[in-house]
Amino acid sequence: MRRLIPLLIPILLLFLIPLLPVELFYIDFLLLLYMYAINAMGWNILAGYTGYVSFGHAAFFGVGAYTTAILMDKFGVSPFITSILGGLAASIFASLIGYPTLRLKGAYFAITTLSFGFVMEILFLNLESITGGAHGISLPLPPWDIRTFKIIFYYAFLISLLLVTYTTYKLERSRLGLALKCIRDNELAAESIGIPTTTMKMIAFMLSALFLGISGGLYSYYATYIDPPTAFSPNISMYAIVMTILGGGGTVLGPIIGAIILFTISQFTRYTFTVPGIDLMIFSGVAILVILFMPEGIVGRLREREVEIP
Amino acid sequence: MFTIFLQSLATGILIGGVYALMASGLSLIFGVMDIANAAHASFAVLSAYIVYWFYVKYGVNPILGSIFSIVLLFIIGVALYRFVVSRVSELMAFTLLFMISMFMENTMVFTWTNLYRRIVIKALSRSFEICGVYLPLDRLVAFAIAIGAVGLLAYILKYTYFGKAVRATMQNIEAASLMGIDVKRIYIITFGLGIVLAGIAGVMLGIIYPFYPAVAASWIGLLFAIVVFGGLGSLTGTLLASLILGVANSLVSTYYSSSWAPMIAFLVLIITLWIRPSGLFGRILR
Repeated sequence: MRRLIPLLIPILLLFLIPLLPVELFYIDFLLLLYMYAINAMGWNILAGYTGYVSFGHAAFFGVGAYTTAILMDKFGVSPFITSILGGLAASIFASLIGYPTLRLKGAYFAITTLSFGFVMEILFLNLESITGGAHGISLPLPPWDIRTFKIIFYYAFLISLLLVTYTTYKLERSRLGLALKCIRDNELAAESIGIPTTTMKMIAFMLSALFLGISGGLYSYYATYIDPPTAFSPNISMYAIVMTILGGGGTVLGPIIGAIILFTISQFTRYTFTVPGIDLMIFSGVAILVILFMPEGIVGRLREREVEIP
Repeated sequence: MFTIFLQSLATGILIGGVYALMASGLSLIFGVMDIANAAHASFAVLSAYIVYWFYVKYGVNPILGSIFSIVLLFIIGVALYRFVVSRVSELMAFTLLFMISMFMENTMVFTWTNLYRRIVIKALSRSFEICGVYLPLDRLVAFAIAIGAVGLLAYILKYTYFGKAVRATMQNIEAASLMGIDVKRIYIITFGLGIVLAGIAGVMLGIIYPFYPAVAASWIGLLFAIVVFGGLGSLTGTLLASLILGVANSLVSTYYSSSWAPMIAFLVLIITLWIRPSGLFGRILR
């Protein structure tokens, strides 16, 4: 219990922030930061721990977002149930797509997921009867005033973030986590010592998609409007990838730290320069430098230092 | 009715030739050094932009502009491999090159905006009619240049010492280096050569299609589908796969809807990897 106290205090503080008279801008800033952190952590479960680098995770975000939008718009289901259903839908979807793709190694997996992200956007643009095509879906407006609305979403994203952090923390110390790391380091060896690699990879893939689906599900109601280019935006995958790489893949706190740094930068540049493309220019630049000079990421680097000191 | 089919077929074949040129560079790099160049299409777009700006701003002849662009891209490719890509593992190289493509794309948006551009050459804006099938001159020229360049590449690979060294490296790195081939040098030149091929194809595509920085993202999936479907390291396979996919895209666009066309490439990619990972002509099974 005593070990938990230094952890609980910051979490408590995060819960108290919206109750303080802070400007709405900061609540908005934080909840979007949580969203990107959830995406990065979800991506990290597959890429960081299992070593299967996916470039199409926006697809799961989009599936979650559309599940929420369709369920709310057509059936009037409550948004917080639908976001969980969105996560489950993304997870089921991941199992379908994982079956043919998870057998692929290295670059082949990356290539397939890269085109898969684009294909989903086309699919949802064309299935007009279900998704509304390019017009998108407008969700019913929330009954609350704007501040209550943002605070509710602040908590929803915060709780989801804590959930994914806890899951990753538990994963790292579980048999499953060990198996995944083993697959990452040497899949052939993992298989030969009796790890059911296919099942393990599938679990990691579905778990990873689950959190992106939840985050997408929450986002679509938060934005109250969803269309294929935003739901399946390659930027969602891109942000998750760069944040995890910078913070350190295969660590619990890495993606969060990456998200804090990069999201702050992206918001800063968005308000400072009005030119499009500058935030992604910085993101990709950071990613290139990190891959070349610090591939283990910030947390990985700090951890190495720790180990070195006897 | 039949004329529409023929027209669609002709369009598909003509565009397929240009795909083949772009994909052959990707296939060469992938086959020789096991690196999937995620930035391949971005180099094509860059090359189209270089030629476009020289042509529009300074009235430089597109042929001269292309030569300049090719030399520049070769230097960029060689330097990129020598100083950047060779520092990381093959697996990490994909992520790295993907980030480089993102960087290039957004730098191009930043400097040249998102507007649609097209290299319009007056002398080429005519078309021939054969049995009701229209063949635009610009596409014919692009097809001819593309096939010519692929043929030249095939000749280099087959009959020159460099080509022999490249093929040896592709088959077995250790044996090749034991035979006195400077594998590192082969890698560097191959990378530059692959990017040059992308550059030539980029100019061709810039002549027949409008382009903008983000267009690279829609090509790269198709290119990887072609390379995998054709079989790694097989030029014949790449050529055949390009023509098949070009025709398939064209037929789907004609009879169904052009918005579905990118699905074809994805389905071909998935099905090939599922059923026959070595592709049509690939020898290496992974």
